[in-house]
Amino acid sequence: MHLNYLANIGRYIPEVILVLLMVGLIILEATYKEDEKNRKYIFIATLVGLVATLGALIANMSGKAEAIFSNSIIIDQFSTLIKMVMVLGTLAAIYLSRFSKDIYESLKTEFAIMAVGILIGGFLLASANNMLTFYLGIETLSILSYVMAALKKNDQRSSEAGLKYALYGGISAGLMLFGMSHIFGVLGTIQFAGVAKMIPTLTSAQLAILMPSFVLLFAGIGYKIASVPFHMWSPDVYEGSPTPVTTFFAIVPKLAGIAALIRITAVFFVVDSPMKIGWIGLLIVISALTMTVGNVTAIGQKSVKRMLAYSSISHAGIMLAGIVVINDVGIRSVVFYGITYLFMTLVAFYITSIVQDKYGNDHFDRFSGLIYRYPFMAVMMAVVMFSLTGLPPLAGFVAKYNIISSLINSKNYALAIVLGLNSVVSAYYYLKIVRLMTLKPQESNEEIEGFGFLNQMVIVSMTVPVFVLGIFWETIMNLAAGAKLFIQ
Amino acid sequence: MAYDILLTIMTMVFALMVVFSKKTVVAAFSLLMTLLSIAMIYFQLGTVFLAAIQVLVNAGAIAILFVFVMMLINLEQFQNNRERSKSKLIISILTTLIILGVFSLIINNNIEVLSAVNISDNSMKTLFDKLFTEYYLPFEMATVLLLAALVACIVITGSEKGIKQEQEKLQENLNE
Repeated sequence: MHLNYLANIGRYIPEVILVLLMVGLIILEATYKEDEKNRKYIFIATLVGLVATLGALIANMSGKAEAIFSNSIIIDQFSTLIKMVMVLGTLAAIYLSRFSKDIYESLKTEFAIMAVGILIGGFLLASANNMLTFYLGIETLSILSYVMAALKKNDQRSSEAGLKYALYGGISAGLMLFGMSHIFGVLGTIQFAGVAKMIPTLTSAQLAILMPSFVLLFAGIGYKIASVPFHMWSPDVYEGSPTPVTTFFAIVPKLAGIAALIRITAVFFVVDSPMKIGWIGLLIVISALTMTVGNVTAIGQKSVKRMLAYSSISHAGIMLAGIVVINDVGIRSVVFYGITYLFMTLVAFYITSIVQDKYGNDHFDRFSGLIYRYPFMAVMMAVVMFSLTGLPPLAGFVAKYNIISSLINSKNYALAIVLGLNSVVSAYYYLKIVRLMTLKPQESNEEIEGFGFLNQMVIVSMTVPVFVLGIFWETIMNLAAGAKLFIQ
Repeated sequence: MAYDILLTIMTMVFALMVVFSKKTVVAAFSLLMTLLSIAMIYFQLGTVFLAAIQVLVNAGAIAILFVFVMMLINLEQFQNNRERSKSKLIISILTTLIILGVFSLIINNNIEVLSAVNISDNSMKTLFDKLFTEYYLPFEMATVLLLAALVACIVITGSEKGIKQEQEKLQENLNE
């Protein structure tokens, strides 16, 4: 049995590489001399490690789905695909951190270490199959996130963001554990599959105990993906953190949370039961609220970063709407949405970060007349904004269309209508940037150093998928459709 | 049975004192006592190992850490003067009612709490057998979590000299 247990490590290579990478980076960071050249080696080591992880994930993709480590971890196509998206997000955030002036030069290697640590947590969360690994994933993700948010040590807002994040995070983790302990107490198992087996046959008393417990369980995940009653921390943290950190937060923890939520929903609530009705009802209400609150609050923002923070809340709401449809079509559309969301968010944050580095703030006015100075970048930003709004023929349109169509197929008309209306609202603030960039005269004629040739190429290469996924979306859609959940 | 009731009352009283006491030191001491009485409840239930861990980790380390921190900082700025508002009161009453309802359901319906865990069989050998076979991965991942927390601590408390210089340089660049 022990040998079998260890043999499972063959399917767990991506995580092993990440842990080794993290430990290796800590040793490197502790021993190197502080000069520019050595720092470059650490950066290269991080990139190599992450690319190796990506390679291992691609190799895992073709293997058959199975539950490993006595059923505590599930390696399936779904989790592997989500992990790949997370690795790409981390790669991009670390690359952005290299030239961003928002992170102190001496803390850049720490940023890389912590990003890898958070990625490990995200990996655990994406393939967790019992409540223990699930909690460990959330906690690894959270503890490092708190510090990451407070990375600008001498900045008051950054420290405030870190403290706020830590306090809210501690409370929500406590609530979640309370709910989990009730689930374990009543059902006597921490395995997701074991819980799922008992859910349809609950007595009414058990049901009355478990209903609040599941709400508490949702609180833990809802906090991580910043869905509405638990979103209060999100704009402050996103605005206070350095921009590369914000980029990272908008992608990795959010997608990990979404993945865990998909797995829980798909495992627990397959068979009809009163619990399922309650959970889906909860998801519908929270999804509609998340979209609306995120969008409506984004309208009045002056800072582009804060606007993107609220917009990412509303995108989490849209992904929640996809989870409401618990079947293959719903999961497929959420995975596809996650992939497109990655590229759109990255480009928007990259450009914002570079503009912010130049002027020291990221107000909307800083984007005025960008098209006269950097026409290429302005066009890229405009493309991404159109895509985030959901206009054809861009990736955002296909992603949103898929979620709406799966909602309509499963007769969730109300939620589909809310989603459609929200897209209209979001057009206002997304297109505001486009209007400023193209119609307003430029504020100054200075050169923005961040838009060097290499960075422009990187940004362009990240925008290309937004075009390609909008027109030739079948390949990725098939990939997403192949990303089936394995339930055991 | 008498012991059970006594311990329960003790835990409740101390827990309430944590929340309602005006002085921070008293609150911290009550927290320590709450954790100790919970340890005694574990002992009463026959889970000796859990009781020992509770005393060592929660009461011994964490509560003492609280008191220690209080010694180091100026206490007067942390007076326990929370504001009382109507909405807070309503929410706390509602929460209490829900939790009481859940507990009464558990007791009234004889729901077999923790049927999966055989309480009498809690020798350390069984526990660690499980920990190093079935739950080895979570155990290892907990070490990664601790490593992450360590890194986090170092980053938070690390030297700020270089950072200050950098910040000044950045500010100068912006002013130009």
